[in-house]
Amino acid sequence: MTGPARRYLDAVRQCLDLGPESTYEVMSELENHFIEEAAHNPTDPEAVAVQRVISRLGSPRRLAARLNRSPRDLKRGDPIFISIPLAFGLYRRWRQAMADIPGAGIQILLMLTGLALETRLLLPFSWYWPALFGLVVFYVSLRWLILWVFDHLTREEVESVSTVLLGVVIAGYIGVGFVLVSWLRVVDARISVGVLVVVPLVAALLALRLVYAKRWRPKPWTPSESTSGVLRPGAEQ
Amino acid sequence: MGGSLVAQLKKGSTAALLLGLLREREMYGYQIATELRERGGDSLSLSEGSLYPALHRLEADGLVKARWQGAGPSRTRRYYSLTAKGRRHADAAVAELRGFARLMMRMTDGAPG
Repeated sequence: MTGPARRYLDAVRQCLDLGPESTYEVMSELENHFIEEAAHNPTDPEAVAVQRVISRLGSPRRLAARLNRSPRDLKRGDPIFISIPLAFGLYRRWRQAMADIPGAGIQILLMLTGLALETRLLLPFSWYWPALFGLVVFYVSLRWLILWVFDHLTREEVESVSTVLLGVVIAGYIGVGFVLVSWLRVVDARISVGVLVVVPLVAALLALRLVYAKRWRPKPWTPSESTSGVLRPGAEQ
Repeated sequence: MGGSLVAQLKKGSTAALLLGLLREREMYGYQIATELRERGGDSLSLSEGSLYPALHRLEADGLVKARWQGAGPSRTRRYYSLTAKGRRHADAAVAELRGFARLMMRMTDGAPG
């Protein structure tokens, strides 16, 4: 297997999110595709055959995203169940768990911003339900969007983006929390104390979720020792 | 315009094409890609970047099953074949595609049905 083919396969593997067994099978199958192309075109230089396969397979991120995208693509038998303490969530995929962290953080930031505006502008209660409904729709759309983006990123990039987004969200909490406390102190000092307790607590929980989610990152597929595809255990000869 | 129409038709009929091909015999990924290229030419061939995700979706849906088989000292192939459910789907999909093609021919030729 030449350098470009190996680098291509490594890039696909970095973006795959299928669990060890499926990742192993997909990688073996793709590796075999390179070997078949070379074997069926013995007169072509290997570099030409490799480039031909790469151009037909397309971008490694796009290929991995196509394999990742739908939960249907997760084969039965090896879904990645991630239960993160204090998250009250069960995720089929690691990227879903990661996408939920900035998604939830942004939603809470919007709620706090809404509360600040409510306090400042003294909006009527009739605004409450449409705003709440809009927030739920926004949250679902946002999570879908973040997951879609994450499906096109490597695991390192997913972790970096999640960390940066969470940092921005926590900075937002501090800003909005400061505004809320200064306004609410005039209305009711007890509520401002509540904000002082709740906001850091939420930020700490989100940071803890991120730490746990990073720990649950799936182990990468281990390439076979030989340069060719390897028979999986029990495979027929 | 013509290119985009073919692309749309191809996108909608990928699963049917794969099921129709596997109805003939068990095949591995590279073989399927080659067959599609030979039969469909450039306009109807399916890139491998779309082929493997489509095959894995069909497998997840229980329409095809896969098995590994060695092919010499340095090669292993993942052979795909239809399940019973997949065969039923394939028969229906091929019949539907053929019916659609006949209908389109009649429409574009302007002959009365």
